[in-house]
Amino acid sequence: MKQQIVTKINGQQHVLQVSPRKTLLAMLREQLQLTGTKEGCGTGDCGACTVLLDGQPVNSCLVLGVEIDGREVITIEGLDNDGELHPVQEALVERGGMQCGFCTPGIALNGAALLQDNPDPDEAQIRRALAGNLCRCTGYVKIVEAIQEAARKWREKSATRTPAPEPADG
Amino acid sequence: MMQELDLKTVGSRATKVDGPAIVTGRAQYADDVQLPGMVYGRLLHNPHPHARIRRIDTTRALAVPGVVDVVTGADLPDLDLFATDEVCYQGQKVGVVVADDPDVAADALELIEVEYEVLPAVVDPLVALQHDSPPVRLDAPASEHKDADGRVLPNVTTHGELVEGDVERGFAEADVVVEAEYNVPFFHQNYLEPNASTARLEPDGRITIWTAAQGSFNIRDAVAGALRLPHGRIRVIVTQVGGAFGAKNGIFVEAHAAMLAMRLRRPVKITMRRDEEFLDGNPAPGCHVYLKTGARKDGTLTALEGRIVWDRGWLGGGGAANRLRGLYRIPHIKLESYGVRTNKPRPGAYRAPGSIQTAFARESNMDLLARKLNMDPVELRLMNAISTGDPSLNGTPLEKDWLRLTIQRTAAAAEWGKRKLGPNQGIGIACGEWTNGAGPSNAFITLGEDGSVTLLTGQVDITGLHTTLAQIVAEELAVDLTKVKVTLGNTDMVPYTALSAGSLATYSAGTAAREAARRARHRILRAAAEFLEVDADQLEMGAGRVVSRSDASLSVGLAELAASARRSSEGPISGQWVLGSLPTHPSYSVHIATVEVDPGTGRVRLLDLVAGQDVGRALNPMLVEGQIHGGATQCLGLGLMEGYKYGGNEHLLNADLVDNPIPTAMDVPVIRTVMVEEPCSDGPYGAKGVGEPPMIPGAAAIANAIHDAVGIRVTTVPITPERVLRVLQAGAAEQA
Amino acid sequence: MRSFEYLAPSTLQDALAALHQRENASVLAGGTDLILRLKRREQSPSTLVDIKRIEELDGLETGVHGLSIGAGVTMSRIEASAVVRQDYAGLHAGAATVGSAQIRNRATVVGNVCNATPCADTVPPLVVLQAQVRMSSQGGERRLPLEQLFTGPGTTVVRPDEIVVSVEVPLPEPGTGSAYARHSTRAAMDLAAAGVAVALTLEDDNETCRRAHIALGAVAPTPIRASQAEDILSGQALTPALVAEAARVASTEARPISDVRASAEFRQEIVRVLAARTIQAAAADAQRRQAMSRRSG
Repeated sequence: MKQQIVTKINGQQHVLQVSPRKTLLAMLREQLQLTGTKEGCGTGDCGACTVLLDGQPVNSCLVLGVEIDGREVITIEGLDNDGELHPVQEALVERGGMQCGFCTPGIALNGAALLQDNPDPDEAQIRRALAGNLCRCTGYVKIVEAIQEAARKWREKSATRTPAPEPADG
Repeated sequence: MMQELDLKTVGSRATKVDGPAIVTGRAQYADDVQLPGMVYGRLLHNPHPHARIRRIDTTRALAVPGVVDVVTGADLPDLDLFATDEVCYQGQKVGVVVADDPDVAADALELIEVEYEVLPAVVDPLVALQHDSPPVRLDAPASEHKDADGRVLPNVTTHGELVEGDVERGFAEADVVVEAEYNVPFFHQNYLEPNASTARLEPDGRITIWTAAQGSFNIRDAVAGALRLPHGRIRVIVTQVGGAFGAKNGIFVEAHAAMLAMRLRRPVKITMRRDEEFLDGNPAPGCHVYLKTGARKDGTLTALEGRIVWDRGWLGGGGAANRLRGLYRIPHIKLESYGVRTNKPRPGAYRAPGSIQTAFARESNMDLLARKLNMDPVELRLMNAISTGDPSLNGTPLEKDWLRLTIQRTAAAAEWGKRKLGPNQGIGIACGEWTNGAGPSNAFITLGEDGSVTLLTGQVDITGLHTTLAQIVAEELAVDLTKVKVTLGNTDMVPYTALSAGSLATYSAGTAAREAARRARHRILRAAAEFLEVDADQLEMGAGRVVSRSDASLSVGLAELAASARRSSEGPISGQWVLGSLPTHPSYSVHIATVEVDPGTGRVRLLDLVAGQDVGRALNPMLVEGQIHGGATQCLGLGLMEGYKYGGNEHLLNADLVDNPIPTAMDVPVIRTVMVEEPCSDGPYGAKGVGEPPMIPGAAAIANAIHDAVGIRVTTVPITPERVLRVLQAGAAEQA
Repeated sequence: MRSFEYLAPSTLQDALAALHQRENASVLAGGTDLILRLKRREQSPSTLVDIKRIEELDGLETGVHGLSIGAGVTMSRIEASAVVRQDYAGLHAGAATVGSAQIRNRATVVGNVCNATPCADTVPPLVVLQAQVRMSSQGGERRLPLEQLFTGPGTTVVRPDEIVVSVEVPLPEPGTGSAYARHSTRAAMDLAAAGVAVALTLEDDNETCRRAHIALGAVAPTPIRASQAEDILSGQALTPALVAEAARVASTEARPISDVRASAEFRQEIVRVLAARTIQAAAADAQRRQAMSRRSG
């Protein structure tokens, strides 16, 4: 029996009829043709299916479609800003932080979430944040470099948008 | 010194041409293919290592609403797509359900009743090697191989011997001899993209297959063979490939999807799950190696004797021993190899097949030898390494001193012998060799009327090939890289093209692209000469234009030229090249690992890895570094954690990515690369194949570093904490 | 997954009513284990009752009496809590070691407890911190010490009509520190082959152990206490020799099996090594907390 859900995906409101046993991943790929989200294992062990659920990275293979009723999802198709790549996306391309690219959407989303939380992560923090995103091609070296580069871009961007607040007791 | 060429685009760190598509999720991988009216197939796999099928009943599965078809071997008497009488490995295909929803197909799968009679099984190749082993296949042709007592060895499928010189004499000349036994399990490529294939019956009766593979023609030929159809009935379109590493050379579910599409006259997609990849994929074969190496006091190698038993899964097959010698001068050799059947899936290729396993044994033995000789392991290798003029593994003499240079430069970069190491820290070196293949390949270039250039090739891009090809075309035609578009031709569009495997893709297609571009360039210059009414040899190309050398005001843009060529007698501007083969050269890799061993838990932490490689010329250093990083990481994965594990009942225990793990970002150190650029005479601009070599030496480098750190030798990969601790405790007990 | 009915009540009362009325209903929290079992078809409830929309179960409350972890609280929230890091270091370490960032954003502490896998990373620390489990049903509420919850691998005394609404952890008394360490092959994304949690209360001399709690994970059908090892430490100065002896005894209290992750012998040895290190880490944490309270007091 399908259930109706109302959800926002990549900024757009959707009213969907979903069978409860469909995962969010299956719903995105089969029902909405948002195939940028990948299935690498189906068991939460590889991170290829990472999406942002209310801003937080989750494995969409372990979330039911019906669970996102009233919630907001960003997939890789919604990470760029009208064609302008997110700094993480840009850096992954520029630094060669991808080879076959199958893990890349998940890494881009998780990297973007990391910078949202921590605009200046050190290498260990980046590696820990990405531990749930397996990559078989790159050995992670250039991915980590790309996230570091993206963090620099991200900070520059935020600095130009909102001037840093003066220290309260300064 | 490197031969100086005036190169602009070739040799630059160009970003991937498919980067923007990948990073926005628009790149289309195999499972992303969606066709109107498509239905989904799910395979039924046998759960036993060895069994006889007594009965299959699909009645209940067929009755499930939404199920379109259920097919077993009984429905296909002329084809071998499913087991019908005997199953010889856990995971073997027994049937398939097709439904309009993948979950419904899974529901129906549970309702297929199969009655099995379980038979004795064997998964250990050393057990399978014995005369009294249970037979892996009851229906196999009788074995011709016998043991020393004349007893038939039922599971032995090949036996080979390589003898050079007189090995007994060689050991008699040796002052020092080391010997050890090594084990490598089955290990999986673990490409992140599970296999998926979609097939459609076309109005003309032909079948189109979309799949992620390393070559469209091999898939076409294999499907044609499996379905007993002429090749011309099948068109294969390779999608973006989500990792392959040798595994996607052959078919997985392509023939099954095609068969169903023909039966149902509807598009059919079959996507494998991760556990199916482990159970019914084609992982790398395991092996058991006995290896004995002899040397004089000064370190000169005198003799090598070895035996390798290759675990070839249920279908058996061979495996070479000559890679045990690898890259050293050794006058007296006797190497024996066996290929045995076991109740496991049929292994396939995995990045430097055969080299990884043999290098682990060979390079570990070299380290043992260095210790016994009290000699520096780098010195020992340099002393025995083949050098300019020596025959390489495939017999051709070495053009340059590539191996020794790579050892020297990697050792220098790693500050070999100069590093201060802490307690329980150690450093180890190991070397690897790979000779890439070549051809057939092709390139077809067209100059567009907007000044863009299109390159069509049948060579599949796995991780960067098309970017490098675009660089080559941009270089030769002196156009901006953004002007070059690369298209992968399907089996209807281009002549037969080899697999992108064995590190041959850039070597072969790169040569084809360069030659095609040079032909296009001649054609452009002729057309420009006609257009500008000057001699062609007065003209040069640059920035998308053809300009007169003597009078810069005389010039024409490529766009204009392409448009005018339409009306010329020679017609539109193009250039093409089809090649069969090329001479090839070995490439060498040297890894130096620094580790720290936790003597309490046996955990090994990699502190640093320096990966050196003889690349000929790095056409795109960023992509070459990426290959080195990735290959090294896969090999250190094998060294520390990967591999199939079987239980007492011959069942696979770890068909998932937690218990059959690959390294995460937290398991990999920063990998420093050393690219030795000493071009070879046959690859494009002197380049050599770069994909396989970085996969080879890492596991042995780690084993050697562990020995340096805590004085113990682990001879089985993966070198898990438990294995380290066991050997540490055994060593402590011995000393006590 | 086989088909099921999905309910997402917004009150505990409705959730309890749903469980009461239905046969074969399961509670869905983070789903990182449950959905996996559904996918493998190891479990096929006819109804899933999703409790994530119940506001009253979503609280992570900290106070002078301790910590109350509602059924909806994820590992990430535990990880991000300064109070947990400060006063419940063992729990913090356990939660931070689970899976990946993606998993920790979904998986809940209460879910980790209810799944009752022997290798659950938050259970040994919760046991040594003397956590209690609060369960509700239409018949009312009951509380149990966490240790008494487990009956075997994957099984607990929680009834099908009950919901574990929270785990309650008393504020460790002054001088108490805790720690958790596990062994796994990978540095992340792994399951424990063995895990050891220790909570120690030190006397004012900062050396003598007043009381010790030691719990072991992945080395028995359920997480277990190493009570003989605890006795060795109690009332004694924490000399290296004593710690080593307690660790040795703890390893004899483990009852591990051999499986794909490790052999029984290896697990036993790892417990010894980890126990010694974790006892030291818990003592260091106790000293740290002691110093902090002196500074603020």
